[in-house]
Amino acid sequence: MIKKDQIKTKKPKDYWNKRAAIFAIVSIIITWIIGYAINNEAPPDCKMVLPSADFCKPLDNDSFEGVIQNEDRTETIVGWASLNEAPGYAGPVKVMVGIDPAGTVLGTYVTSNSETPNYYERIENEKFLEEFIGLPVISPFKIGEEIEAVTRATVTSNAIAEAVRTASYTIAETQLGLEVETIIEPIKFGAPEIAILGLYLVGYIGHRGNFKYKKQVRWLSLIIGMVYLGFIFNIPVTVANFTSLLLGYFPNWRTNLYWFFLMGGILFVSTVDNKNPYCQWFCPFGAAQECLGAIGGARLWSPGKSIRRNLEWIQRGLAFGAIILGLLMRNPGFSSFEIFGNLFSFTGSWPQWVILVIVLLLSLFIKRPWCNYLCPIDPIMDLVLASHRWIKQEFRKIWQLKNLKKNS
Amino acid sequence: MYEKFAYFTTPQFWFFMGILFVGVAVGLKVFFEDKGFEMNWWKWLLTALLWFLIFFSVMAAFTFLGEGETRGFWIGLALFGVIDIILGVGLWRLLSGGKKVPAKS
Repeated sequence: MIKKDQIKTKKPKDYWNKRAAIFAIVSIIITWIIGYAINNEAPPDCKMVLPSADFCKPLDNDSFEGVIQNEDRTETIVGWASLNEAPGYAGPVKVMVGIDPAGTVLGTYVTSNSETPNYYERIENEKFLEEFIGLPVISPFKIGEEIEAVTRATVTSNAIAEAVRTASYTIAETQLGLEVETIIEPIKFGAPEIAILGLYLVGYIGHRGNFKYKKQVRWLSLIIGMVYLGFIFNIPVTVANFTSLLLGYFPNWRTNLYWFFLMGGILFVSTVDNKNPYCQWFCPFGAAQECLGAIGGARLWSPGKSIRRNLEWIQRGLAFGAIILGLLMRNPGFSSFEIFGNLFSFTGSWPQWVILVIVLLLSLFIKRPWCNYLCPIDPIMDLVLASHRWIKQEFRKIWQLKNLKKNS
Repeated sequence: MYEKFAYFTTPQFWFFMGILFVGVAVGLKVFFEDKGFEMNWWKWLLTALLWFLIFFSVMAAFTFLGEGETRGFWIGLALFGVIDIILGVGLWRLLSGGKKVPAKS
């Protein structure tokens, strides 16, 4: 007699995929909670922006009064410090500003940020924070006027300027009794936004239609994506963008509409169309690899089934690890391991440079090696699409069951 | 650091590099004939341009090294090296894809 557990039943095709997806989603939720619980910031030292102060007295949660103690034990106010934050590219940028009693900015200091380290390094290298020193407290602190943005770190520059402005105005109103005008940033809708919308439209139509010039249109879309989203605006989709979404960090919509189009578009079109238009139609790094592949006559590398499966799981593991790390540190910058910045803005760490060189050379002979074996976007989109599909299936089952009961 | 790599700025090093580059350039003609590539003026022009680019890359990288700029050496080598390889592969496909003449026996 054959025992029940001796019968080997073939597991359904997506048996492990479903379990891995559930494990990933549960882990993400748990890590989110742990990250939230362990990342309690220590109160910043206001002496960083009021160096002459002996000590600082808190006025409220985000404002401090810097004082020096005289010999006769009386106290003299040397300035005020205020803490404020503004949304950067990957998350909030928190800035402390010091103002003297005459109403001049004494110093600025970034107490925390979530930007990609290579981009934030530019802010430090260019001594951007020193540009604010000496400006009157009620200055507009506008990029392009009194302040010059750091090239390739414009969003972070804008965020710092906004945080400095809000913090300074708080002191101007509460401590100096000055009236300040609220500045509302105009909505920025320009070339990057138009390019992204256009590319999504082309990608969406291209996916659906089977028209004569599909190949040519795809190449055109890829090249526009590479030039515009890559070299000119340097805004490819990265795993840090998804971590920002999970953490609820959104950049200022008035000045970063393209971010919402990019992320909203990839999620919206993918769920509506059930296909990911970004990767195949206008991913700048994918396009760069395809261009190299055209030069070198690259072909799709097809290793054995088991190797392919292992490589797939390594790729998924990398994406999962990156997101978990970003959530745990509550900093999307920790998620970034992509090499897009190296190619498009010449910034990155030396291991990333080594990987970039290897990937570019491999692209000459193997079709899209980064996309197929390392890119974290592909597994993330797979998870999104699979979850969407499974939810739809479950709803359909429930609906059919309900109808069956009704009819019987 | 500077003294360690100073040899790369000496006339002797560049003398040997010159011999190597001219030698390989002369050898290319024989190599192409051997491979049966049908060469014409523009294919030779492209080959010469790439050859100069490779020569420039090596020259720039080793000058950096000779002057003790190891970071510049690595960046130069990686940047120009990748460009040279990409263009080299493209040129190879262009030359090998054309009509072939029977190789000399």
